[in-house]
Amino acid sequence: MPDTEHILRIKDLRVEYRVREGFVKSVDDIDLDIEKGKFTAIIGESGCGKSTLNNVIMDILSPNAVIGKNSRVFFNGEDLLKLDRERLRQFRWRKAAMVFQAAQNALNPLLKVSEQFLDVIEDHETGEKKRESLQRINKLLELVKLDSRRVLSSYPHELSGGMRQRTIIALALVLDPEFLILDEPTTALDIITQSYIFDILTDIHNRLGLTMALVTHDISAAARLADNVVVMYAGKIMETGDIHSIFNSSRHPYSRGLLNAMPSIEGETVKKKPIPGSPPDLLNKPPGCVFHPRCGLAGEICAKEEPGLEDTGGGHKTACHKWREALP
Amino acid sequence: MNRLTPLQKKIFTSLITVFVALSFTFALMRLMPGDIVDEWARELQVQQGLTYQEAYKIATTRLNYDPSVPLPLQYARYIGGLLKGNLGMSLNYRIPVSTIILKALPWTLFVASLALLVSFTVGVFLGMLAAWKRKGFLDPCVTFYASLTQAIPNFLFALILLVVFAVRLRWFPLRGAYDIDVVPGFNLAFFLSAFHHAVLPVVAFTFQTLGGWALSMRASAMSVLGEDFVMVARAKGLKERRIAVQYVGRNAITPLITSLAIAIGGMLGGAIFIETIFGYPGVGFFFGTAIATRDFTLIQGLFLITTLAIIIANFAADIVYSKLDKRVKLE
Amino acid sequence: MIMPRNTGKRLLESFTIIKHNRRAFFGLCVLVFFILMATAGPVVIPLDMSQDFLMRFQGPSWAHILGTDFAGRDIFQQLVHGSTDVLTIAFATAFFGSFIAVLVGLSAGLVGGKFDMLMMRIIDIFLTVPNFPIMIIFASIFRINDPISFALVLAAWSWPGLARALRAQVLSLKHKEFVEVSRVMAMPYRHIMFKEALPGLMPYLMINFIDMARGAITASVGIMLLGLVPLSVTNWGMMLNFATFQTGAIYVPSALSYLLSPMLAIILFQYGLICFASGVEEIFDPRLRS
Repeated sequence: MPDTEHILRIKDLRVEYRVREGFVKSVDDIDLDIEKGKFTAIIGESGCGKSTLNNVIMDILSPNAVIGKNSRVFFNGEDLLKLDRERLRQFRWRKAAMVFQAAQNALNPLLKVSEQFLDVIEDHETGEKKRESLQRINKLLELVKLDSRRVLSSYPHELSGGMRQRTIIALALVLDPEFLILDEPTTALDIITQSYIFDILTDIHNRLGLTMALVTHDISAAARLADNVVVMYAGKIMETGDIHSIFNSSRHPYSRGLLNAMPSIEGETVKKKPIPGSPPDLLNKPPGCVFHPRCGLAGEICAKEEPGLEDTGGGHKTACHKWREALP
Repeated sequence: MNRLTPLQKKIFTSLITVFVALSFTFALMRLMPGDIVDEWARELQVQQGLTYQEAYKIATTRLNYDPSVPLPLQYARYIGGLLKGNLGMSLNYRIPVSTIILKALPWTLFVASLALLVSFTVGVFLGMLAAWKRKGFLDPCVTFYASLTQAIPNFLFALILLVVFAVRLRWFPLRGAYDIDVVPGFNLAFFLSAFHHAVLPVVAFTFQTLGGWALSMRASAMSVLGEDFVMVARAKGLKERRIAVQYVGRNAITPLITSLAIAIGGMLGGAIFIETIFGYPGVGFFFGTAIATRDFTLIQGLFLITTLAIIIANFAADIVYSKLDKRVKLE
Repeated sequence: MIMPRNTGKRLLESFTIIKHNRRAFFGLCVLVFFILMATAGPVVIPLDMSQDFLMRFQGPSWAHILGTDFAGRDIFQQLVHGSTDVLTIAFATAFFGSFIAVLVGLSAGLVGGKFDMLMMRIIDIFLTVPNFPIMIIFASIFRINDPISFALVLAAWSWPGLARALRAQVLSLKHKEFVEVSRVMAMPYRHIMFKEALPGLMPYLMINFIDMARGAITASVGIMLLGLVPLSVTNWGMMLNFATFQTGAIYVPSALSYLLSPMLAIILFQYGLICFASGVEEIFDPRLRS
C-alpha cells in the first residue's frame, strides 16, 4: 500500500561486510523515514555507513555484503529486499536514481554520451521513440545548463569535471524517477562549480518537486540544500529533524561537535574544535552508545545501554541518554 | 623527436627497424665463409658455356651481391635491388627467392590467421565467461588449462599431435599443404584437402595461445568489473547482456588488441618449428631448411619478409586500437 | 610491504608462505628435484653409453626405468646427465639476461635524456624483429658448442622486454618522494640505485628471472630439436631431435618412451617453474595471499 507521506521507510536495516577478520557492521540496525517531496541530507564522517545505505537502495552492494534477515526497505510501501532480480532491475533508475560522485569514473569511456542516455531508455522499454527520447534528453541537459549538441556527441573524457557531473545529474533524471539520491555530488569540484551545481540541484528540487536525498560529509552543502537532516555515526543514526532544529538547536553531542568543527566565512575567529578521538573500529564497536568514548557528556548509562531514537518534540529525534543536559 | 606526432614517431621507428633488419642480413652475407659468387659463377660457366666474367656478372645480379665493389656501393645496390623486387637466388633450390616466398607465404598466412582467429575468439569468450561468473567451476578450469598449456612448448605439443594423430591413428597426413593428387585451384577437392592438411598445424598453434588469451581476457575483464562505470551501469538497470558486452566486454578487449600484434609476431616466429614438424611448406619450413643448408639468400629474404610482416601487424594493431579507444590519439 | 631486515627471518617467512600455497610448494619441490638431478645426479648415476642394438627401443623395465634409446642405451641415465646442461642453459640465460636488463633498464631510467631515448629505440628494434629467426641465425653462424655460449646468445634476445619494464618502474619510482629526498640530499646515483630503487624492484626481477629461464628452455629445446645446435647427445633437446628426425623413433610403437621421456621432463620442469613463480608473487604481494 503506497505511503502518502514517506517515500522510503527503512526498518531494522543491518548491512555487514564479510572480511577476513570477521564481519564489519556498516549499517547497524537502523530505522529511517524519508519524507516525500522534501530534500533530506544524510551527513556523517567517512565510514559512518551512509554510502552503504545508498547502495542498499540502489541494489549495488558489493558481493561480500550481507543484509540482516529482519531488515526491511519499503519504497512506496513495497519491500525492495523481497523483489526478484528482474523487478529490481526495472525498479533501478526508473523509480529511484542516483547521482554519483564527480571524482568517479561514472561514464563508460568507450561510448558517446548520447549512447549512454539512450541505452538506459532502451533497456527500460518505455516504448518511447528515439526522436522523442532525444527531445527529452535535450530538455534535461538544458535543465542542467549544458549545451546538448556539444555534450551528446562527445566522449566522457572530452568533458570537464563540472560538465561531467551535470551530465550525470541529467542522466539520473532521464527516466523521471520519484526519488533521487546524490552521493557526494560535489566532492573534488572547485568551490565555484560546487556552488553552480548546488543552484542547479535546488532548481531541480523546486521545479520538479522531486524527493531528493543528499549523502555527504560536507555540512555546508547540507545547510545550503536540505529541508531535513539525518546525522549518522558508525552505522547508527544519531539525530534526525528538520534543518532549523538540527542546525540551531541540535540535541546530540555528536551533531553539535560536527557543527562546531565547521568553519564559516562570517566566522568569529573563535577556536574551531574538532571532536576529540577517532571513529571506532567497526569490527569491535564500543558497548552502549557507540559515541560515548568521545563524548563530553558521557555517563555510566551511556557505556552500558544503547540509546534509541527519542522524539524530543516536533519530529526532532535524537539517540542520546543525556539530551536534556545538552540543551544550549 | 618531441615535435613529431605519435604516428610519425611510429613510422620512423618502423623504418629504422626495417633498415636494421636489412643491414643485418647484408652483413650476414658478407660474414659467410667461402665465396658464394665465385661458386655460382663457376657453375654458370659450366652450365651455360660463358666466360668467367660474364658468368660472374650474372651471378652478382642474381645474388644481389657484388664483392668486388666498395662496401657503400654494395649497400646501395643491395637496397636498389631489393626495391626492384630482386631478393636474389636461393643457393639451394636454384630459383629466385621471391618465387619461393610467394609460394610459401600464403600457406603460413592461411594457417596463422586461422589459428589466430580460433584462439582469439574462443579464448576471449572463455576468459570473459570465467571473469563474469566468479563462482562456478569454469574459472578454475580456465586458469588450470592456461597454466598447463603454458608449460608445454607448442612444438612439443605439435610432436605429440603428429605422433598420435598422424602416425598412429592416421587421421591426418604427415606432411604437405595438400594431397599430391589434387590439382590446386578453385575446386572443392583442393579446399578440402588444404583444410585437412591444415588441421594439425592450426591445432598446434592454437592450443597454447588460446589459454593465453583466456587468461588475459579474464584478467582484463576482472579489472574492468571493478570500475565505477560498471557499477553505474548496474544502477541504471541496464540489461545484463548490454552490461556484459558494451560496458565490460568492450573495455576489457581493448588492451588485448596490442597483444594481438605481438601474437602475430610470435606465431611467425614459432612457425619455424611447427611447420618443420608437420612438413608444412610455409615460410617457417623453408627458413628451417635454409638454415640447415646454409642457403643465405633464402635466409635473407625470409627474414626480411617476416620482419616486415611483424612491423605491418604492429602498425595495424596501433591503428585499430586508436579507433577503438578514443582516448588514444595517433595524429 | 614490510620486509624484515634479517635475511634469515625473511627466508623463513618466505618458505612458510610457499609451504601454504600448494601450487608454489609443488613448484619448489619440482625445482629442488631437478637441481638435485643436475648437480648430484651425474655423480650418483653413471652414464653407460655403450651401444647394444639388440636392446634398442625397449620400454620401461626394472633394468631400465624409462627404457632404452635407438642404440640400446638407458634413457633415464641420459636424462639425468642431460639435466645439467639444460639447467645450466636455463639459469645462465636468465642470469645474463637479467644482468643486461638491469644495467640497461636502470641506467636508461635514471640517466634519462638522449641516452634514454637511444636505449628505448634499441629496445623497440629488438622487440620488433622476430626472436626465433634471429636466434636461429645466430646459433648457426656462431657454431655454438657449449651451454654457456648458447645461454649468451639466448640472453641477447631476452633482455629487452625486462629492460623496458624496469625502466618504467624506475621512472615511476623516480617521482616518488624518497628518491627525490635522496637526490636533494645529494647522494650519488649509485646509492639511489642500489639502496632505494633496487629493493622495490626485487620481486619483479625474481619473477622475470624465472620467466627467462622458462623461455630459455623452450627456445633451446626448440633450436636443438631442429638440429641447429649440436650439443651433447644427452641434452633433452638433442634426445628429441634424435627421436623425431634421425632415428624414426616416432614410427616405432615401443619407442614411445624415448620420445616421451625428455618431453615429460621438460614439461614437468616448466610447470614447476610456473608454479614456483606464483609462489614468489605471493611472497612479495601480500594481497595475493588467500
